[in-house]
Amino acid sequence: MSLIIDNAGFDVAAMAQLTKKQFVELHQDNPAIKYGKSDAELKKWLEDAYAAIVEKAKASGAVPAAQ
Amino acid sequence: MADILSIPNCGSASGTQNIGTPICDIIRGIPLGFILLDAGVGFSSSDRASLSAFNTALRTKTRALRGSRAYPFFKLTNFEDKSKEPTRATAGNLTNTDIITQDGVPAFAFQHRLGDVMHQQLMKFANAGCTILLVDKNYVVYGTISGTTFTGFSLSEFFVGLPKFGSPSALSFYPFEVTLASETEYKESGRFIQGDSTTVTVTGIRDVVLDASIAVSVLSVGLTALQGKNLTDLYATELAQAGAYIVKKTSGGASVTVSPAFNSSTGKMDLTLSGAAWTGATTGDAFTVNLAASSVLAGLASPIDGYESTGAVTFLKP
Repeated sequence: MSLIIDNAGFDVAAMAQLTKKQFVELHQDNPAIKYGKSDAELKKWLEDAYAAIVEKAKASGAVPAAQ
Repeated sequence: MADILSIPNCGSASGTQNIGTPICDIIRGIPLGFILLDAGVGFSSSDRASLSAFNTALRTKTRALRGSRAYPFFKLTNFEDKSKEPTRATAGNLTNTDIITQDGVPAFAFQHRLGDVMHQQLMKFANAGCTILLVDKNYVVYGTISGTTFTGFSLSEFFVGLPKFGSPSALSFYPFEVTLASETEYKESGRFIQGDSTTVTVTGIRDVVLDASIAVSVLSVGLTALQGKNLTDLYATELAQAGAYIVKKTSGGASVTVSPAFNSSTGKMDLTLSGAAWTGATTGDAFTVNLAASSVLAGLASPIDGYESTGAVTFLKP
């Protein structure tokens, strides 16, 4: 199951197994996700994306990682 | 007990002939196009249970894996019947009666005007071993029965001719022709399915060429559809679905987790790679990236219908 945010797609089940810190560190170097964002904007974008992934994971019954 | 020894069938009770006109029949129309089928592909009785079932089966077969696929083509601009005349022989020197000894071999010449790239696509069918269904402008699909399966006519040749330049008096055109292999398939075993306009809306698959370059854990993937179109121009959002890609370690085939994102400055998809197969690999380990099968792409939550990768691209872990 994919969650697409601003033309960036995430495997909900796999990403929900990461902690927020792991998720942000994993994606912060992706040029497509970084494009047009300052470091602060990028961090906030990724944190908001992670929150949305966890919400969707919970809704679908997948167990998110402990924060 | 009955005995058929030395008893010719001269209209006796064992014959099957009758002359009553059918209550309803079809008259062949002008050819509209054809559908090539991979060898062995056909339509079972359940595929033929209704017109809706047939159209669904046909559409499914156009997106099936190679070897089980249907290839529709409805862009004909010219048709000629090139069937050889029947062979005749004189009955003997005491009569001037000619008798047909061999029926003509069905053969048909076509043209299209789609272009050079399409013509080169057609050339790949010369040795593909396909069978052919013919479709006329009344949406009737003509084929043959093989056992209980409706399938295409066997081909002894699928020949793609030289493309022709235009001149002040004639347009350019692209000729090709087919010669059927079996008179029996076409004549005695010929069958038809009365389709509708939906039948001829099915399309073939477009090739997509991938290119890939890796930086740390981000794989930049370019997708160029036939011929030269950047697929992200059409499917930037749909290509952000992880299920559109297959990234695997070459040795062992372990799958890599993919987070695809559209890079508007490069026009490519940037895939963040993660998961044990990636993080546990060593510098220099080989991986491959490919698009998922055409049927999988067409079945995604946001579908990408009618495209297929020409093949996986290999890259090495930095």
